[in-house]
Amino acid sequence: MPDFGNDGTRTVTVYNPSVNPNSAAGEYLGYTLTVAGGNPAFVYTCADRDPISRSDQFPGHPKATYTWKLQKAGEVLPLIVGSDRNGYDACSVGMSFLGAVRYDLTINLCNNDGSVKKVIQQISYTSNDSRDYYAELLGVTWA
Amino acid sequence: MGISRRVLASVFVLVALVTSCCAQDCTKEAQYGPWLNCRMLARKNVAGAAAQAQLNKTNEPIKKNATNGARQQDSPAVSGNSNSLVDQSSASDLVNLALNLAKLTPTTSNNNNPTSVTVTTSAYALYAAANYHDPLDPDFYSRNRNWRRFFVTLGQDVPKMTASTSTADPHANRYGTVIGFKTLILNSRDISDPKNAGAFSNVLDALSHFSSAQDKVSVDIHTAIPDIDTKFAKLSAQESQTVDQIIDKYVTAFTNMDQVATDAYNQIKNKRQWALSYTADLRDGLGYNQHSIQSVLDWGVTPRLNWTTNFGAEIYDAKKFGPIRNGGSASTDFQYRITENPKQTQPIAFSLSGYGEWLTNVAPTYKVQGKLTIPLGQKTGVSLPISVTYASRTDLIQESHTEAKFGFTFDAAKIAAALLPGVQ
Repeated sequence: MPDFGNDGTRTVTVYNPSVNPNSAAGEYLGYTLTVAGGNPAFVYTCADRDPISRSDQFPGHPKATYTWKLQKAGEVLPLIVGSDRNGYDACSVGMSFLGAVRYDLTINLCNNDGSVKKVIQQISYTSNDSRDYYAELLGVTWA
Repeated sequence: MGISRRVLASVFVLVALVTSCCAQDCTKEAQYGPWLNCRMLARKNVAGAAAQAQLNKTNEPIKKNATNGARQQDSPAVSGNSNSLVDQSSASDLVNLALNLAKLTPTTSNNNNPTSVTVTTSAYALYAAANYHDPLDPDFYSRNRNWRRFFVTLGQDVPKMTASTSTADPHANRYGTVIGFKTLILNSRDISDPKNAGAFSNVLDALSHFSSAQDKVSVDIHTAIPDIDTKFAKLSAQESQTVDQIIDKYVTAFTNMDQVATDAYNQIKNKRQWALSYTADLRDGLGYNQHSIQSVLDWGVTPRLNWTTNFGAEIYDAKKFGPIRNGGSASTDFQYRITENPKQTQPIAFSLSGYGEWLTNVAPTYKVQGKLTIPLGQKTGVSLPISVTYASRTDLIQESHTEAKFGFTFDAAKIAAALLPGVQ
């Protein structure tokens, strides 16, 4: 029985369903998505705005590693995106396996100076079925 | 009578809905994200079952399975012991091993030796190895697309008979060295081909809607049930109903994503591919050196049916033991995906092939082959091709001949993902 889609495997190293970054202290979420395959196709969305960014907007696409940040304010797409929602927000990384066979997602809660305060999610996804897709959800409440 | 039919139809729809609903056991999910994904899938299936029932009323056929594509896994057809009569236009991006184990005929039942072994790799895989680069790095993969137009095959044909059992066909007693080159002239199925950008754009659009819908569902559920992150496994009936109602508001985005992903896959897989190939089966002084130059065209006729056709020139160089035979050959192959369930990534497939060869100094040869390819598991990259071939004549024996064979194929690209290192 696949974890998702027709052939998907989701392997969790670290998983937290939600996170509470302290925006007043300059905390932000740092995303790293590493891809194996010929043509990555992924999106990053939050509840109130869609899409925030998609793979073909990143400089140098296609490439092996994509990074971006989610912080309370200060949007510079696509590397830094902001959230102006108060209270609970939900953001997802949606990944298609049409042109990729593996994604490795890491979400870190980072301090103002860029150091990692906590690993929030570290998950690998593989599939050999090009029709498969998956969206990893993270609840975000800004303090 | 009409009432009975209506009752039966209603029962069918009810059973379909209940089955779809309860087949999705989300209580086993230990994490909130996968649990929500599971609940969304369950609601999507309910909506899908209702739509399916509506379509069934109109007898509209639903065939959304994927084609097998045109990646050759068997030995080249020129190998006398190949399970294929027809070569396909491309091979694995990485490395493909084909092992034709034995004929299933009684004459060789006591012989467990392989009758041919070939290894096929793309120039791309060699280029990546030469550069010590991960072949599945998207940037490298995209930049070096043209290296995937070239493939090389090396292998060996082992004699069909030992020298002591045959004196009629010296050629068949000799070991053969198989060498092949293939060039993809038309490579429309390459995922990094800019012409396929439209399919990717459609997927990204649908994925954005899907992902955003999931976010909105999560926020709405969190508003209704603030501690959903921790109590999702112990919802009351009322809360569970609330979750379903919220998901149903966005269910269209989920069903659309499935359709777009399948359409994009079929759009790329059904494109045409055209290759030119040269294959040689070289033997010592008592065997023919066989040279074959072929045009190979692949076409995904429907999502479950792929058509391949080859035609080209054949040279049998007999050196000093006989006359050289020159001429041409033509072949065609229909590969049908038997496995209807689209969840099977390594489907059972049946192919029917025809082959004709017209050479100087010898009567024409005609062959017909049926081949069943049975996968060993769904993530192994390994499959067993079993074929039955009728030939109007074999190489030097003027009589009709039927033989059955089975083999073994292994596609490295299919398991490469599982072997890649995790996040550091």
